[in-house]
Amino acid sequence: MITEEVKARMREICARYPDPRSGTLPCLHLAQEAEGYVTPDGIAAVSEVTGTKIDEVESVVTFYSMYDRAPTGKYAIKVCTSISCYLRGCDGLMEHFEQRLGIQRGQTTADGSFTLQGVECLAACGMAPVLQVNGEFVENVTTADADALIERLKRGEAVAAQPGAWNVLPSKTGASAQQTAAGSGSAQTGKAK
Amino acid sequence: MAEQEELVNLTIDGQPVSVPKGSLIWAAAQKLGIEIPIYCYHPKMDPLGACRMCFVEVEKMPKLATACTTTVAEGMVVSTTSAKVKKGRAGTLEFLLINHPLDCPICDKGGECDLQDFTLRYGPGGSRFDLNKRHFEKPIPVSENILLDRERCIACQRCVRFTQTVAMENGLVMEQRGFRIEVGVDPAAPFDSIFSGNVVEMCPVGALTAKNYRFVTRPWELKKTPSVCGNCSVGCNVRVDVRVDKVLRQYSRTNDAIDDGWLCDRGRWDLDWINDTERLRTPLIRRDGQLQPVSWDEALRFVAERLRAVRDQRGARAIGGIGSTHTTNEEAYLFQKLLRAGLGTNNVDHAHGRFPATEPGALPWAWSDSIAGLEQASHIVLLGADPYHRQPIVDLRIRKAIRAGARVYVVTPEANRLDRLVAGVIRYTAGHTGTLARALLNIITSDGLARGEQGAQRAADRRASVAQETPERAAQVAGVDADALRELAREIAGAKGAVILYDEAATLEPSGATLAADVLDLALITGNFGKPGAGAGPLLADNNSLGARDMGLLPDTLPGYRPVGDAAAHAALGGAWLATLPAEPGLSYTEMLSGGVKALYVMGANPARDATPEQLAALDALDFLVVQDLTLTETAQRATVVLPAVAYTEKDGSFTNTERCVQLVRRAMQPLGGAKADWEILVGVARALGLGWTYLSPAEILSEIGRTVPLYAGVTRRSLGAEGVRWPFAPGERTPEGRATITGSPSITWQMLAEGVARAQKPGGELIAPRGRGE
Ligand code: SF4
Ligand code: SF4
Ligand code: FES
Ligand code: FES
Repeated sequence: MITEEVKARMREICARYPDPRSGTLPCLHLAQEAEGYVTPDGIAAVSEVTGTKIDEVESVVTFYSMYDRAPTGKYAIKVCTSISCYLRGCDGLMEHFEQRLGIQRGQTTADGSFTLQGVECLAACGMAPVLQVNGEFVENVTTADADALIERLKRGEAVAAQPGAWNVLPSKTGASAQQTAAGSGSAQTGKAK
Repeated sequence: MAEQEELVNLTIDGQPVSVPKGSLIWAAAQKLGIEIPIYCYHPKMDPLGACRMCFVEVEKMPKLATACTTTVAEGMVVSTTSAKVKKGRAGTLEFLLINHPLDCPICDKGGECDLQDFTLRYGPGGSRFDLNKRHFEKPIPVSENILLDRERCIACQRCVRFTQTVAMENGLVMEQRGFRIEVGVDPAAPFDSIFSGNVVEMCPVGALTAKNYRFVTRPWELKKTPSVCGNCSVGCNVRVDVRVDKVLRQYSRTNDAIDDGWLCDRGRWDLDWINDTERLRTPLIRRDGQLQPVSWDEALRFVAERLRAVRDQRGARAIGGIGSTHTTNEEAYLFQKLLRAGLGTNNVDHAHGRFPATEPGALPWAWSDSIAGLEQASHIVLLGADPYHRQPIVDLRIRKAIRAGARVYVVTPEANRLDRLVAGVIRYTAGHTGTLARALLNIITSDGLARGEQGAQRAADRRASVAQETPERAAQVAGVDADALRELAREIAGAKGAVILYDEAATLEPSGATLAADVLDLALITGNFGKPGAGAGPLLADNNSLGARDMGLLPDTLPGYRPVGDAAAHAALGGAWLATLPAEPGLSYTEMLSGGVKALYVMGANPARDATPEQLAALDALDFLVVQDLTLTETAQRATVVLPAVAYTEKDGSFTNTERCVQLVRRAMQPLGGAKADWEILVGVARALGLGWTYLSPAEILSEIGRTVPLYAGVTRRSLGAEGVRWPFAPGERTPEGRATITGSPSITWQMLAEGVARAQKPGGELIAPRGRGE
């Protein structure tokens, strides 16, 4: 159910644009936040508020992997599988997550804590391979980073060790961007294979 | 005069060409007859640049350019044949075929498929892709009539863009992205549009196919004939596709002035009545209470004998004829000629008949503008009209006008498909369309909203007649919001150009007797007249509703709306027809169905279907009933003689659409064995009556119409050309071979009004007398 209150927030967003249609993406985020994932109800509400036809909203939802069409676990881990991340070993990373969590991509762990998904380019190709946890970026991810991340999340800690510090994992704190760009990343991801 | 368009000069493959500034390279090549292959581009939609099929090389551009998105520039040098272009095209095709199932041998599109054709012309012979192709369940329904084979889709998005941006309906959407992209439908927003079939025609591959066409034929087995849709009054230009003896579909033949390249699903697919196995193949005569097969000779002789007997015993006034809004102009013309000149009666009418309460000689229901003109309107008002269901392609044009910024007001008793898209919606109690029109006139005449000298004059003429018809009264009797009417009146009066359309059915409502004249007055008084994108007009029901009237299927007017008592018309027509014509107005449709006649001749109409019990009893009490039709209709079942006729796809002729455009219909298939075209049957009956008619073809009849009916002066089959001409006609320039031509009128002007549009009326009379008798 999308409450009137959520709809009111959606309307507020749409009012910022000359054409309410422009509010489609942020409104969908609100719908997802309100119900955990984008439900037919959520789509109907966004369609109503933005004056966009239902089928067009549906099309938008399927285009962006940031929107979930089914309930996810507590943490939704979205691993980029597009070209840059592919070249930097995302396949190995994905397999590692699958083994570690005991699920296939697209599935949720039995205890409901993790959902694993492969997604299209997250627009952070310079830091490939890249993943997102509940919308927060994690970059230059090695298999060791992946293990550390899962441990942190299990303990209920934040995704990033230092919030606001470009979401670099603890193991990377202090490492300069140059170092990672200089190729150590490639060696690390290579190990994942 | 139109502004001189600025031209841009360029060369394509060494050939110079000049095209208007802003044209696409694709269009410039088109002009030279150079093919640039396209998939995603469609001339009726905005460019997308998604498929990369249309690559050309432009000198000084570093990379290949897409011809569908690149506009021409002065001095541009374009190659469509360079090695780079060839490589680019081959590359695109190799990519497109990566996931394609290559199932041409079982694909309905095979033989008319752009993917197949372009691959043969420009593609690589093989593929370097040796991994698994993607597979889908095939096919899946996307609507009641259309199936989707996702494997064949090349994601050009034509179908999606059509439903979303042209039809503006729920429909197809692209789902997912990247290599997962597919066409789909949201279950919450089903694809149930009357325009859906267009996506099948425009899909460049065999991904979208029509359920009723799948596995029925191969394109090369079809005989394709340019013609006109015979379904509703829009008169969309079609290509009739026939396989041996069955019509399988109609495709668009793109007449920008009428259909803009689209067809509705009714026109495209509702053709089963032509292929009906129950169609009549032999004349029938009732003997011992049963309709029994007889030969044509016997049937025609019998009809003539019985008609003659009724005339001799009871007089010509005991005979009547009900004509059709579906048959051709030529047939309507012959039908009334048979009754008037052959049998001596003016008892001729058709189901809709006269627009009630129209002054003699007046023609207020001529749509004063055109369908294409809607695009230039700043305002469009639909009064009691539902074009989505009744004249779908007009509805589609209104959607185009909406995209161009037109403010549309839907004033209808029931919910309308356009409600969601328009500037205003006004509801009222059914049956009161006329009340609303007069209330609008009341507001305009009493609030001083007239524009222009002529408008003010007419407002003064009308003020008294609508003085009582206040919006408050309309609110009381028709349950309409009086303030909404006031606002609407102001919008119309302030419009740059307003077009007001009503459905002809509304003129038959109790309040609608003067509707046609009132709506025309509304346009005249507010200055919305005499220019494209302004005016008033009816949305008629059937493919030849207007032609039936034009040709004189009316008890009180001869062809071209000359009153039956008009001496000059009598002299002219009687001379041409070698007959003395009756001068008394005849009986109307309802009068003939209420026992007014003893013998009734029905051509292509089915009065029994909508008849009251009294009318049915009167039909049964007739001495003699002849029916010409395709099947044993409710009326034919009661007939004394039934004569089997053929459909519009089986004969030549012409139709006149709701905006006065006279267009040619062509025979697309052999007539059903044993049946004859209505005009042939009429000639047969006339000859059996000893009338000595010698018409050998509809062309001959049309030429006679061109000579004897001033409204159609100069019309011949040749002069109508491929896309028809709108009356009133004027003589055009002679062709180099010395043949006479005619030009049409996109809109009717004040001057035409003053002059009497087509010299068709009694001398000195107005053709369009925009006064009703509502006083
Ligand atoms: S179904 Fe046909 S028209 Fe639609 S995107 Fe696919 S190929 Fe293009
Ligand atoms: S709008 Fe009318 S004329 Fe045009 S295709 Fe449909 S039925 Fe035929
Ligand atoms: S390819 Fe992974 S972020 Fe762009
Ligand atoms: S036709 Fe030009 S990119 Fe598709």
